Amino acid sequence: MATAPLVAQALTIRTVADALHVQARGFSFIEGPVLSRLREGRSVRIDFEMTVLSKPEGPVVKQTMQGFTLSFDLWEERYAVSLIGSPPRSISHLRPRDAETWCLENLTLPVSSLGFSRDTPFWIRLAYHVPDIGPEASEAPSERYTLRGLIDRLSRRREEADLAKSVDAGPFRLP
Amino acid sequence: MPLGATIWITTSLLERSLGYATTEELNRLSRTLEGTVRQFYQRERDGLKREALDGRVAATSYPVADTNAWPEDVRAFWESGEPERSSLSGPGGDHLDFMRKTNAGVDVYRRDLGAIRMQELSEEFRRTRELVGSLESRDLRRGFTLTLLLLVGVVWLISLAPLLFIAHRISSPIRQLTAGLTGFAAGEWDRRLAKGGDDEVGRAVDAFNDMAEQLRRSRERLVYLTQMSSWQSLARKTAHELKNSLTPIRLTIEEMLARQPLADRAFMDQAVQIVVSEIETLERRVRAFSEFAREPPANPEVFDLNVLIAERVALLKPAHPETAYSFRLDVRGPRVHAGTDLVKGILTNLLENAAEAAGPGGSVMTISHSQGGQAVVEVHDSGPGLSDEARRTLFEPTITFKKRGMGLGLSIARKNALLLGGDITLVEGVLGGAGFRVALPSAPESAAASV
Repeated sequence: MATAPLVAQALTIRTVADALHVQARGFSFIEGPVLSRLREGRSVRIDFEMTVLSKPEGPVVKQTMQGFTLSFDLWEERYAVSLIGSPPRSISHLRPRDAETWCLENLTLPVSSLGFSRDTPFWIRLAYHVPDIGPEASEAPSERYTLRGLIDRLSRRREEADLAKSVDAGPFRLP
Repeated sequence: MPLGATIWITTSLLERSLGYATTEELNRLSRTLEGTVRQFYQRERDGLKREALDGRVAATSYPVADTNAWPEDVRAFWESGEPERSSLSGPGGDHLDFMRKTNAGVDVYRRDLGAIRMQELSEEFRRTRELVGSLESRDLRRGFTLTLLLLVGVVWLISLAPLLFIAHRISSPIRQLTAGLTGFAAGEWDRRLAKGGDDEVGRAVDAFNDMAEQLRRSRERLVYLTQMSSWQSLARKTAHELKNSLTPIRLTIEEMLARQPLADRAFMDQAVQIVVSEIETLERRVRAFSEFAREPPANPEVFDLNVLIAERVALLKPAHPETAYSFRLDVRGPRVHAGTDLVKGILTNLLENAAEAAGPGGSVMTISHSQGGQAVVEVHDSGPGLSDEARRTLFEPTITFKKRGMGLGLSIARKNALLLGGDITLVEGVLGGAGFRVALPSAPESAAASV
């Protein structure tokens, strides 16, 4: 799995009640292979990870993970997002930026769990990972030992199956 | 077979490659269809919206006071920030809904899209794009080439395996034969090959084994005869020297006895008797040595082996009256072409030995038959049998001091058998004791008939 750093983005934080949210200007993930796959009518799973660090590249203070499933309405040309978890939540008819924002809004950490005072600096690492972004194997188990299955297997290109990116920013202080 | 399989594989791959050739067409067609369907959807959506705003189509109203009874999609729209929304509904998405927020709640306008099920089209499009994507992500040229090479390689390897096996089966006995001949030439006289099949190679192996066996026997006989020749020469010289010395000794002793005064005559008589007795013993040994060294004439003639056996046993019986004799003779009477005196000597020696080994109350059996162009006579006794040491040195000439015989009998018998073109061998005794087999040359058919 390749992890490429995101650059030229600015992370900001805000708190709503006890929840720490992160906002990322220019943090776009509906692009490239993800966008291509969505526009082919297929859904894409994206796993987000927000990590609070006490120092740059430093020890992890707290971490949260959240998975989302994105899909694209071919005729309406709008996106839909479902939050994987309990209880599942979803929203549809979104533009790409709105879909991205909704994902980040639903990625939160409880402020109280950090144990920071208002003067304590901390850093945040925001990362996402798209598993199995490559083309799906069309080979059924029954076709594994047929001529077609053999051709499929021997003609596959070696491609990056997963896609991952991350961005680090800081120092932050609780508002 | 491998050529046929290669052609079949190539043809199958060619057929499949023709199937994959439509990928580009499928790609283009799906893109065109996507654009067309989207245009259709958007035209219907815009048309419904226009008609709704113009009041040309009736709405289903959902009042705010009753939100709990609203359908899920209407509630989701109400909770969204959008003022209006279009979405598909009905089985397979065959209806188009236009939802609009009003002061009183939500108005929903609906249009039937006929038989066009938009959600099913979405699914079909997704599957098509997935197939196209899967095919475009592959290097089909490489896939076909590798498949062809792999399958053809496997087919040829599978085909070669039995060929290699057959080649190995054919060459293995030949290699074995070559190794056997090489070993035999290097002096490995006991080397034999595993029996082959009924083909030419198998027959060659059998011929090799027969030849090796005959050569071994011939060599053994040659070595034995050579040894015998040396021993005979030594015996002849020894007998001559002893005879030369014994005669003057005997004459001198007798002269000494004649000149002795009568007063000491008794003592001298006894002493001379002892010396003369020992001289006679030595003379007997000298005669045995002479016999051993003698090269008797063969004088070959044709005779009935059974008759000779009966005669020899009859002569032997008075000397060993307490021994039982039995016969198992070939009723056809094997005809022998050999020197009668030599054969008599051989049989006498073997029968004497057998009777002595069997002892009083024991038994001796004589067997005759024909085998492989030879007349065979076997003599078995019920004695204690032979020790391993005796088996090893059985036919070697030895000097013993037993009362009867000099230990040269079997050596002489075997030498004579070899001179006749036959041999004497030790066999498994049928009466529990020793067993000897004498092979003698059979008489030719014409000679045998004239007897």
